[in-house]
Amino acid sequence: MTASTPQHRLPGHRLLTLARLVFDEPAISTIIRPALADLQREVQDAPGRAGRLSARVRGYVAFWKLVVAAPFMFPVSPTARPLTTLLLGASGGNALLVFVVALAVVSWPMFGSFIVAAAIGGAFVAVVLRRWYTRHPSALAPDNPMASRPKAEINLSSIPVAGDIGGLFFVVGAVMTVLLGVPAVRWFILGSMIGGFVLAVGVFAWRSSHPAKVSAASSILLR
Amino acid sequence: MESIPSLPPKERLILDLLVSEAPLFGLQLVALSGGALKRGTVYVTLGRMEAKGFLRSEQEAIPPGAIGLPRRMYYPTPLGQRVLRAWSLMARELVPEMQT
Repeated sequence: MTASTPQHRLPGHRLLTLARLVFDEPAISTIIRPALADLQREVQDAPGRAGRLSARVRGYVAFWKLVVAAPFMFPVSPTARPLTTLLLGASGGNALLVFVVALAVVSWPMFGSFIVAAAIGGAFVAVVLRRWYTRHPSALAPDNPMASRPKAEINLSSIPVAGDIGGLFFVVGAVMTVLLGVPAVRWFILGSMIGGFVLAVGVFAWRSSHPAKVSAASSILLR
Repeated sequence: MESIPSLPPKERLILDLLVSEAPLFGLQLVALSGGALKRGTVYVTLGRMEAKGFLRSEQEAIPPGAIGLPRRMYYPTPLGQRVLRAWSLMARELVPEMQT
């Protein structure tokens, strides 16, 4: 590769064009361009045809790892490309969605149509839980008065598992997950459910006759 | 009170290499790290360290007739060197406790 080599034939030229669609200028100048510059120089310095090919492959693999990792490791700037903003979304929510979809596609050969059922069931449960908590805001996770919209989060400590629809969904979901994933333990789960039911009745009877002296909001155990 | 700047192991290694052999470019850091740094993530780490003020970078001067993108060379900043010294001192002070 000499000075007469056209720029468009250099390794990484098209990758840089592609990266400009995804990343904003700060990310291009601090991450992408240095990576491609090192790739180009490594290919130029490599001895022989096989060496140059090997350097290209190593560089391309590293570049794609970088493209996958960078959005999660580098914050979105206000001047980000529309595609970057679309991929990441607010608080990385869209990136999480992309990750979930990719996971579903990759695991399709193992789980098949179960993934569709899980997605539909999960969406339904999410909507029901969201509606429930919109009407019954959690007492343990106070809203941020400075926030203009509710913060999206999964906070197990703010889910009162003891006695409402959320708790029922949580328990049923957890049991079903284990039951479907490890069917060999079904008898153990059945025994646990019976034992748990007996224990719950006992605790309920005890609480009825011995009211708690500590504020329920201060302890998960006493809720 | 301002919090003390954190220095994860990979950033410490990069500062160590830069303090002793700067300027270096990304692939040189990967080669000198003996496998501790990966070329797929080293540039993100370098970008983060530059944002924290631990290092600075500049494009190398392209020789006449050369083609391609100019490489980015990295240097430790005075802050980066002080942070590295502080962390090295703390590590030495805590060696007995860290070994137990």
